Amino acid sequence: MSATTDVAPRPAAALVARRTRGRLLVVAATVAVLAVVVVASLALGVRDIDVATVWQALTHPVAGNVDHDVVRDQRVPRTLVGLAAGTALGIAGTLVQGVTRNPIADPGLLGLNSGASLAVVVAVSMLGVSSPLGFVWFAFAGTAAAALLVFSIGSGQPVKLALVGATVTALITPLITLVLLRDPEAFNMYRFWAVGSLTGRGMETITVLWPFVAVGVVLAGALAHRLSMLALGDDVASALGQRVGVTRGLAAVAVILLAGTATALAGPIALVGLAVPHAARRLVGTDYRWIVPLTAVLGPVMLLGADVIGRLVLPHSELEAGVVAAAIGAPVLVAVARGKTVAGV
Amino acid sequence: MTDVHRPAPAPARPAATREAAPDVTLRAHGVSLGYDGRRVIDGLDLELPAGSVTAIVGPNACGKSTLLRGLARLHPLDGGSVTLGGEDVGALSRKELAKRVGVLPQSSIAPDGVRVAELVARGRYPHQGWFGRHSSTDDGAVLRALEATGVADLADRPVAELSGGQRQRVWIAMVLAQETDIVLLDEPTTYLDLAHQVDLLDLLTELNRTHGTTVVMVLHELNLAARYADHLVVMSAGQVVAEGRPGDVLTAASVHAAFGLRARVVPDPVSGTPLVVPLGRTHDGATT
Amino acid sequence: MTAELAARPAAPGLPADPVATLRHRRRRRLALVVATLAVLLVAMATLALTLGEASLAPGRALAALFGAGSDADVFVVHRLRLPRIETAVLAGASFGLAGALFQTTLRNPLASPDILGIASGASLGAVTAMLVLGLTGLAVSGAAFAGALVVALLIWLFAWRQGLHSIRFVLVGVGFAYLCSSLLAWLLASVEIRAAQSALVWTVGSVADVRGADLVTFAVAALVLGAGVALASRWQGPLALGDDNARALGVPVDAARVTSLLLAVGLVGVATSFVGPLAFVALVAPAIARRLLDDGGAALVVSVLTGALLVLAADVVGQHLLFGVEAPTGIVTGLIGAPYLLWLLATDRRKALA
Repeated sequence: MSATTDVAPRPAAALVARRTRGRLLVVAATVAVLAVVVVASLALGVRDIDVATVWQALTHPVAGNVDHDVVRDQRVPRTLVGLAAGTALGIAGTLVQGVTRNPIADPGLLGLNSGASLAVVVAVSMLGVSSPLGFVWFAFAGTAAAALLVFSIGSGQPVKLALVGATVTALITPLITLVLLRDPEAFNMYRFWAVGSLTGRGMETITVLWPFVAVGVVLAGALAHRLSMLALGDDVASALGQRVGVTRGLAAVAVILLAGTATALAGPIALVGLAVPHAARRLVGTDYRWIVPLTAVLGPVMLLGADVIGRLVLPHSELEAGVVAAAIGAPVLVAVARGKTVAGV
Repeated sequence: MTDVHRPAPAPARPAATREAAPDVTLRAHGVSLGYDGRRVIDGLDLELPAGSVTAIVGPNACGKSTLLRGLARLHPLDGGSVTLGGEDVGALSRKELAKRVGVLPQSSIAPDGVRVAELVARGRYPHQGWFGRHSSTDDGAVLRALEATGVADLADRPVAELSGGQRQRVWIAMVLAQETDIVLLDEPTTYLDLAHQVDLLDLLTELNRTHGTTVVMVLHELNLAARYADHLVVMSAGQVVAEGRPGDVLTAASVHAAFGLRARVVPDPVSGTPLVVPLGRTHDGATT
Repeated sequence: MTAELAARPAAPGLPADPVATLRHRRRRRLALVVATLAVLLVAMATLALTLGEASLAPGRALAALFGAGSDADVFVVHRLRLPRIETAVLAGASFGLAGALFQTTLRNPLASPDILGIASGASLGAVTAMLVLGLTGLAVSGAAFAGALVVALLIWLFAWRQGLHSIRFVLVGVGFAYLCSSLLAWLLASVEIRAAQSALVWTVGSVADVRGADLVTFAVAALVLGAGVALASRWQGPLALGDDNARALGVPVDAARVTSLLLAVGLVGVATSFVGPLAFVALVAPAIARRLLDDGGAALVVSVLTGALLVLAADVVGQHLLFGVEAPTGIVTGLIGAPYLLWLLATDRRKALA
């Protein structure tokens, strides 16, 4: 053994290096795709604007130039919302699946989106809140309340957690409907929010909310290595020196921050949080130190990409990002489900 | 029961490879363990000698796995304490403990698509910071663990594609990559055929002999335990019924006391260790 | 009895035949649970007969039920209240039974039409018919049935790979649930507000407006499907033990699963097309039933009763007790069932839940 240690070629190290190169390539390619999507998001829409003009609008805006105004006032905020919400959803889904070791767990299934929705409905209907920035805090509070309820009842048992999440959704959905049936005005406002859209949130909202995404992302990054251990089972993770409860608690905080912000920014968007982690796992394997960064890029690729597609499919109007994201996400999920091994649940 | 015999044929152990090896004697002092208020073990004292291979045996549900989990702090103690070389294990941080005690629990999950080298590298977790940067020290430890368990050739293979025996070797490699002086294993031979059981126990013995690693394992198979253990602990109903050298401990009387099984104990023709030959209702030994 | 068993000394204190004792105990518990639920159901139905704008004393209501009493009483009971009660019981029973079938067949406590997208498929079908095609009445019911069936078929198509794997089915189903509810939200947002509101009402579900020929059709369909379930139910026990064990016990696993799921989808489709998707009855009723019975079985019969009781109680509460306004049944089923299930989950200390 001591003799072999000195042998120069190290298969394991070489393997790690080779895989690292492959994964870097995947991440780089995804970042490149994201760059393309961002440019497309700034340039395309009901009014197509060429890239040079977009660049001009960003660097030397001319007051009164309609193209410049569209880029600066509508497309930039919209793109930033897509980036922030996409990243938040991708990472939140990864964290939830990692912590529960449950492939169908996502913030929606755990009831967090319904918590946010109820809070927004109450805010609109009973407290007269009407600005998107006003929704934000309620969406947050609703997400956190639902998360607390779900995690406190279902903690530590993956299947039970999902069942509790579904039950909480079952409890909250009728409450939402009750409010909506009694208050047509609230319904009118809510129905546009509930589709999930990147528009109508000004720079103001993103300025207020980006720190939450930032904190959530940093927290998720710090938890990534721990999640890799947690994937081996609670016992193994503990045996390796991890305080499993701390990991779960911090992950819950990150999920609330990220899912809450995403819902506040873009409404209850389905399937991004579910599909993105699965796709990332396909691309870079099981190491969460790679999965987390990749989902941070893949999330906005999917959400912002969905938004761009939504602008192109109808001749004179737009499909909201939420609908398109669901339409893209469902096939991804089906592909995952048809893969050769589906663990868990 | 306190006299701990050194294994008689212990080959010269290159203890010199570790200068001033730390004391890794694991002791349980009045340890109580249970589930939801139901006591499984009540006030148990036990000493697991450093540098030996210890096997814990006993009937199903006697608390042997629970004890191992308690020793490894995977299960909270209801009472008493566990010390490692005289130091209270409960006072150590989890990570500190994981640098000194390696544990392979039964409930381990290999994530879909994980490769052998990756899984083994996760054993380096206690030695790494928050972001798990891989150092050349880590590479060395992983390589040594892969080679010690004979799975270096499989480094690039997905764990899911391996046979049961190979997979168990990979998990042991993961624990070895922790580079601890003591390793606890909960039924490491479960689901393995006899050949692979022998192979795995040989592997653990070699680790003990060449590196001085203290091995503590819960085993089901009495005869293999008797052959491979330097120190045998027989448990029943949460109590230690007997402990010491297998030759002294494993008798017809102790087997009956622990398992409620009538048996004859004869010398193993290969190793000279006790061989338990069970009697039953249909084969009571009267005819032979 | 084999010689080996006979040779074993009879354990002191144990009854002669523990197997039979256990069976009797199980049967007693089943009888007790069924009887209690039946009594509660009758009491609730009586309550439903008496409550209303013209409140009738229980005696008068019962008299009217059997044709005695004033014409007005008979009219109120037979034309207004009884159909509603019958609808509630039929719908609840159908959803409860369908949910139990889904959950045992797929061996997953989450598998219910609400989670699997079959309910949202029905909603999407109905809302599309109302908002896009401008249909009304029975056509909407037909569209709901078609929606449920199409989604179930799609899930099945995509989940089928060398047999029907339950995890795959659930995963694909969740995908479709999200897809359908997303499209539903989009439809609601893209039409004029009044139309959207009436569609919203439909997506909640109510037992208020089924009577006459519709009710008869509903009853016949539900009973036929129920009879089918009764025939298929002997597969449920072995199926719960896992595919391999079930095969070893002689159950044609794929055929059994397909049959059970078809029946379940049929029940959901029929019930949804008449009363709309009563939220989460199919999820909650079997979960409650299993815990009441606590024998690890499918609890089909008890699920029928818990479903019926849940919907009937929800309708009574929705009509008379909630915030002074009449709330559609589908809202109240969720509000009653979900907290109860949550409480059960919170107090359930056991690890395994499947």
